Amino acid sequence: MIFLTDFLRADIVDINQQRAGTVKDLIVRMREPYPIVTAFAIRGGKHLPRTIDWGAVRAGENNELSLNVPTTALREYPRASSETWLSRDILDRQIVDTDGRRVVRVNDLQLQVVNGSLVLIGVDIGTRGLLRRLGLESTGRRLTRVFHRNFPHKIISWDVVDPVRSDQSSVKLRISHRKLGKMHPADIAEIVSQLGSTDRAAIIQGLDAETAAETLEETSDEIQAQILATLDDEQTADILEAMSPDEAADFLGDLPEDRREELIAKMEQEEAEDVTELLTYEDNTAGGLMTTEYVSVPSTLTAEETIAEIRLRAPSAESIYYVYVIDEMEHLLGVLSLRDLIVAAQDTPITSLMIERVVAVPTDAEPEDVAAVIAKYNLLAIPVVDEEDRIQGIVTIDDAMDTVMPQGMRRRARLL
Amino acid sequence: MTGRKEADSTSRRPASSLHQKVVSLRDRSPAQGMGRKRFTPGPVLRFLAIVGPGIIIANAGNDAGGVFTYSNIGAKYGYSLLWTFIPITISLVVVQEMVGRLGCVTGKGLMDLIRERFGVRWTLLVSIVVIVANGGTLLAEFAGVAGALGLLGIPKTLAILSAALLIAIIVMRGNRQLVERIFLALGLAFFSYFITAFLVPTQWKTVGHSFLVPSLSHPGVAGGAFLIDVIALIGTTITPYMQLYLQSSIVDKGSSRGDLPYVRADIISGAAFSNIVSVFIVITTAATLFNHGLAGIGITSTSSAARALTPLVGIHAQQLFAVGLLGASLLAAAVLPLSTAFVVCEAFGAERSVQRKFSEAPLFFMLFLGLIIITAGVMLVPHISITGVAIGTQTLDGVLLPVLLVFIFILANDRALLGKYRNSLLLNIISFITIIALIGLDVVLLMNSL
Repeated sequence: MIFLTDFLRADIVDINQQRAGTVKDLIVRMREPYPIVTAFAIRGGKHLPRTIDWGAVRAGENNELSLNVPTTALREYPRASSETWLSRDILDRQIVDTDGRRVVRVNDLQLQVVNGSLVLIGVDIGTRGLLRRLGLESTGRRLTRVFHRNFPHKIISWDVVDPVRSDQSSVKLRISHRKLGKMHPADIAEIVSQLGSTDRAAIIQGLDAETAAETLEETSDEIQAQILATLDDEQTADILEAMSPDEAADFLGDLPEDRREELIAKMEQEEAEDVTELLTYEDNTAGGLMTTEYVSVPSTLTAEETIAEIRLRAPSAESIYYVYVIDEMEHLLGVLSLRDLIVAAQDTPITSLMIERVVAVPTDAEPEDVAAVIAKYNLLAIPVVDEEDRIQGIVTIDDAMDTVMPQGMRRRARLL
Repeated sequence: MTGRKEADSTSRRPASSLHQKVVSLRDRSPAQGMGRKRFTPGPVLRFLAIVGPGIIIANAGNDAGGVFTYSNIGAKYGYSLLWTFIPITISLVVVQEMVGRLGCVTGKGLMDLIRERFGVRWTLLVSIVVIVANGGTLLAEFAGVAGALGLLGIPKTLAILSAALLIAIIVMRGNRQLVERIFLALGLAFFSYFITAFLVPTQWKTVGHSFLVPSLSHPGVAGGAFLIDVIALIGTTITPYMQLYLQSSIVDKGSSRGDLPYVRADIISGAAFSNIVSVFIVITTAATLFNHGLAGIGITSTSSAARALTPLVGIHAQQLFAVGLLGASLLAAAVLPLSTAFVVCEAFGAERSVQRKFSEAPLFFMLFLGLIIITAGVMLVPHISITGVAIGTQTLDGVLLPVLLVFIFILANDRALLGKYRNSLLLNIISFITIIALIGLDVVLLMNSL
């Protein structure tokens, strides 16, 4: 196996057996599936170009890189600044292992000769690569042999590694960025939480607004705020629109007044109104917790008409398992379960199907009480009503549970 | 998971009977919306929100090693070394500003940056330095625990073993935030030095004079011993672990370059505040212990250091000192082994989390538990000098500090990393002088001991 470490610090010897310096770095051109080595950088060679085309290399072995030309014939490699330097840009950087969902490091890079060119084929993330860098690989191998153990390489193939596209970013992903968008937002959130701020922003920027919104909903408030602060206003507004209004309101509520209004002004009118409405409630109340995306129907409908309405509304509602029946003044009259609606005869008036004694909470109820009520009556969501019993929104079970779960279970255990 | 899909508002199809809700929302009288009282942080509050790392860290600097070292300086040299606090505070601010800036701009920890910029070999060197320096500091904390509980009549073996067990349990299982607050509160007992300084006949004129006129030696103290004390003073004020911890917590808080002014304010106020406390420890011990037979000798036991508080609380000085020392020692002891294991694992890409099993994160647990077991074990050696360990380890910190500073210095000048946020000329001059002075002191110390 050939590794980058074998080349770094190798002596460069020209065709006349004259020593010309040592290898400082290898330069690759990025291409699918494997990047190809196009040049190398020299350390110590006086009066020599700093980067040289790989075409001048005859062979590389035993810690020596021999050239097929005299040093005087060497010319500067023209594209060195636009291509990737393996040691400078990739070695020692972080990799998010999306299988293990943890951050590992590029300890070494595996190269191979394919059709006469040297290509980058793998990333060594194991202890063995680490020891190789320290010049202790053979010592390690001897030690493991004493204990009758194997000393395995831990290498992942380059074609499943994908750099995050950002100037400052250091992160490479174990799977491609495109596939990242198909992962569950909760999983992406877990990865994002493990990264530094610039890398987090780079990953979020690569996602569509929808996935980005769902991912942000799964991260802690601090990380959410910090990521959104790095995006421009248009992007932030798009993501806020895609978030459920209660989450968006939570985020906006923590901003200074002028900043909040700036962002709301950039949002679509409907979403902005929902959020503004929710912002009028105190943070730690049922009103602050609720969402306005629920299904409510007038009491005059039949079962069939109601199902038709649900079809129309389903994409936007947060929960459709309960359908709330209201009068023209929005007073909460009853609740229908989806099950009862489907089972009932088509022309049954919903007033005869609905349960009239609806369990609801006032807008100023404590989150703990809301959660307790939901748990007591085994509900999936609970309506929130004002003093006159008019429905204002619903609190879903997952939002209620979030507030009563112990801190440690919700937030990633922070360093300190 | 409920399917939170698009935030398609209900008002999009206003013709539908389903959307009366929106109409009523618009009709709502404004009085109903008066329940809102959302918090709008102004600049001052924003500062307070970001404050934390700097102030807490700077005060964690007044740990067991710090209190013993400052007490020793006051008891041994009187007011004469007070002048050193001016250059040390400037250096502390400059170093922490570089670290804070690196954290804000890159969003990465110090060890991350060292690994990415300098590679595996240098990272290994820095890791070893960090483990040794932090191990030394942890040793001082255990010495502090033994000393504090000793004053309260608890035998050393019991004190050390229960402290080690407590720390391991808190970190792995407990509510660390709460515990840290309790320790921080106990540590407030050290504010009694402030009051004491005004109760005793402090010679304020001499204090002022000592700040302005540097003295570079002391009658009755050998040059080598003097040097060791000065290095300990620097090492305990600009602790290596503080720099790593500071950057980690800044990154952890998600501070970005926009927060830089607040982070700077936090660092400056924290450094100023903690060094004022340190100065008062020196002034109080100078006014009490120096004039009562410890001049040129320094403190030799925990109870001799505690006597500085006698003018304030009489015979209860021992207890008051013990409470402060216990809180300060445990606070730092709870942070040290965890943050050491964390940064080292981060540098090598190893699994790091107390929530994992031992077999899943072997390096992390080996470092974390190893540090506690070894340092606690050393303190169990019979007749080991508590004050000797506490002050000696600060000298070790001071000797190792320049290694870390060199890396911080190079990183803070890296154009590719920081762009326009890299060091200014003035910062470079101050940090360069700090590093050269520290290396110079180390070299002189080495030549002296040969």
